[in-house]
Amino acid sequence: MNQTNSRPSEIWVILIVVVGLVAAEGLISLLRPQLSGDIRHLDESDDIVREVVAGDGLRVVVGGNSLIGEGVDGAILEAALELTTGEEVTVGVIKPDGTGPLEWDYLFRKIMFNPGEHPDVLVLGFGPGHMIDVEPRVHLLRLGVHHVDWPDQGRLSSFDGLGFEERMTVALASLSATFGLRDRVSARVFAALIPNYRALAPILLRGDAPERDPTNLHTYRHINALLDVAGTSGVPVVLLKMPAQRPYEVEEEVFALEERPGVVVLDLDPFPELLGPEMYTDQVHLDEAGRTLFSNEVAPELAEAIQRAIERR
Amino acid sequence: MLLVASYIFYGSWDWRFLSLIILSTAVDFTVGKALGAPDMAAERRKRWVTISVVVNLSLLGVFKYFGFFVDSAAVLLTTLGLQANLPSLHIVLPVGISFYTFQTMSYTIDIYRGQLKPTDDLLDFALYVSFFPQLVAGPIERAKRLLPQIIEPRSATADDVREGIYCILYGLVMKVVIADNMALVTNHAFALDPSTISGFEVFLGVYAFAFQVYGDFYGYSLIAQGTARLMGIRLMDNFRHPFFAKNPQELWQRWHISLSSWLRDYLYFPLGGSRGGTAKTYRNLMLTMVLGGLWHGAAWRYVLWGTVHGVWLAMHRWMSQSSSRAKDAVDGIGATLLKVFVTFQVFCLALLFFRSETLEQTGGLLRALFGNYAVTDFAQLGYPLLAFYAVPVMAYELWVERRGDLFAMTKVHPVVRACFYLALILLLMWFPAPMRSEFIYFQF
Repeated sequence: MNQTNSRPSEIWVILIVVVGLVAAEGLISLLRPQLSGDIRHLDESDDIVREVVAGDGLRVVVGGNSLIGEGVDGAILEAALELTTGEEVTVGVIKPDGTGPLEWDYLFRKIMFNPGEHPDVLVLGFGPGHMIDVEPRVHLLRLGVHHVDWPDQGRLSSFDGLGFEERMTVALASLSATFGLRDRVSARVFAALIPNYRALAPILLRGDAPERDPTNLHTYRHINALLDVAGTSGVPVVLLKMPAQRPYEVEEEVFALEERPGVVVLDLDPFPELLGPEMYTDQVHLDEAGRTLFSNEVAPELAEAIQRAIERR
Repeated sequence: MLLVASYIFYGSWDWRFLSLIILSTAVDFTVGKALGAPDMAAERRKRWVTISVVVNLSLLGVFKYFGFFVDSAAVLLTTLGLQANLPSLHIVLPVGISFYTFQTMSYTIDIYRGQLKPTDDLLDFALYVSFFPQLVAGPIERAKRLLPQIIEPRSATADDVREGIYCILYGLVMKVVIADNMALVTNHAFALDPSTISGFEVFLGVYAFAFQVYGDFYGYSLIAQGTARLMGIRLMDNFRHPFFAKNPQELWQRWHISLSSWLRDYLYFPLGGSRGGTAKTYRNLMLTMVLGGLWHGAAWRYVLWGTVHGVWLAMHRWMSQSSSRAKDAVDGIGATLLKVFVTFQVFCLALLFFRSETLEQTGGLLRALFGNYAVTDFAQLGYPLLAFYAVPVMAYELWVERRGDLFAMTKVHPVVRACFYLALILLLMWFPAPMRSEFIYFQF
């Protein structure tokens, strides 16, 4: 093929590739809610906060990850708190999977602490080692897609120490669903092709407990930063230690957070006795019966902790 | 400017390494000029080329093999009951030293053999040695091919750009998608306890490693080729669908072609090749492959790997010569598939030596092949993943193989080519490995 003839054909190649990428972007954006329930939930998270803020009585947002998702039933907790306090209560639950203080710091400061648009209290559920900072680079895509906006780019550099390549990954993830949701896309493809993929996949990835995970930084900067912005907004916070199949220790640094105004750490030791091992689907996640029991039984102590946090604000 | 860029590229790893590549360049340029002098006595010519070989092999010997030889000597002395107070040097291995020393030696040896005229331009020669796309991991170029392209004015044609982009894109997929994803499977397999690993997991580990090292090295070679093509320079093909080889001889004509042809031309043939009778031929094959294995790294596992290939080549040669009529009788698609299958299996099993950290691990994994064949969770996950990544690559390469042109995709209808490129880009976006791996051949 001589050079003169090849030029128009290469232009067609480039055009078709560009059109194909745009089409892929459109398709992924369209299919975004179907890719996972977690994506749907994250897309609705600011609506959840808005509904709580617009609610009556004591307005409570319960935040966390799948421990909260599997451990707390918002409607049951709401009814139990109303029964306990004798007041109206509005509860909303925000529980994106696989998140921790890194994501909560960026997400909650975006949707929960705007002046005049914040709940009365934030209850943050955590499990073993969940309060420890982790390497931001292992969560770049999700940060970009769900948690970080363009104004946060500076903070990614100054607070999290992300380099240029990592910040560009976050920026690209925020701009392109094809790029940003690629781990969800690949997970969907593999789940369709490989039997039992979701249960088996952790074999190839780091499956250690968070306290042994080499990506843990053993600092608590993000939870402190989140509590800073909550404090500035006048929102008290209850840090709720979630039950697990076996009792576990909470780090001293987490208990030390209670020294901050408006922060209470709620550690309910009897809970492992109430919730038998059979009420868990794994070491930390409750099943439906466990979720119902916990949501009812935690209400009295939680109400008291909320009151203390409000008084200490 | 390209020379400056190449030196900056190389020096960005460690600026101290520049002194070695400059030394090798200066020595071989001088030797080349000397060998170009007319009417030089044969004995003097031999001395000059010996200088080049000694200097380059000394660089390798000190920076790559000193520790290995000292440690091995210490083990031997200790085994013999003697005291081993040998000096040790903790030297960082300069990136690419195995590649550029071989490349510069080929220049002086080709001049010595009268196959090449030396260049008078030091800068052109320096660029031939340090050309950045192929400096750190090959292909190991020959002066006859690369030097004229550097000396002559060049520009990238439309074909160069088209094929260059194809190489870079396909190379990225081979590295980022194929190699890095297979690395996860390989690393997990080789981290399992050899005393309890199942046979299925051993095979999974070596198959995954075969595709990891192929994707990694072929991917790098393609990116190097593509980058060079965008500058109007054609580097040699370093791989030609090696997993379709029907025997070990053909395998080495398809795998790491630049190294295997270098060893053939500068080691096997000077040793006598196949001209000295059966015993000498087998000796030459073994020596070439053992040293080829040693080239890969300063460790006994590479020597063993090379030895396995040497034995395999020798056996193939013996079987080819003693059963040529039988060989003719077993042609046909079924026989071809069987030969390809067997060649691939032996290649993968030999990789046990290459990938294992210790000889004990190699032994344990080999024993596991005769042990249990439990279908573990890892096997249930790993084999489908291997198939997901390997089957499309093999299917595509079969199509290219049948077209007989490594750049066949650049000559198809533009719509087909566009769809192929779109698929590659989406593969890069959707299926990169959760964790990146270093280029394997950077360590050589």
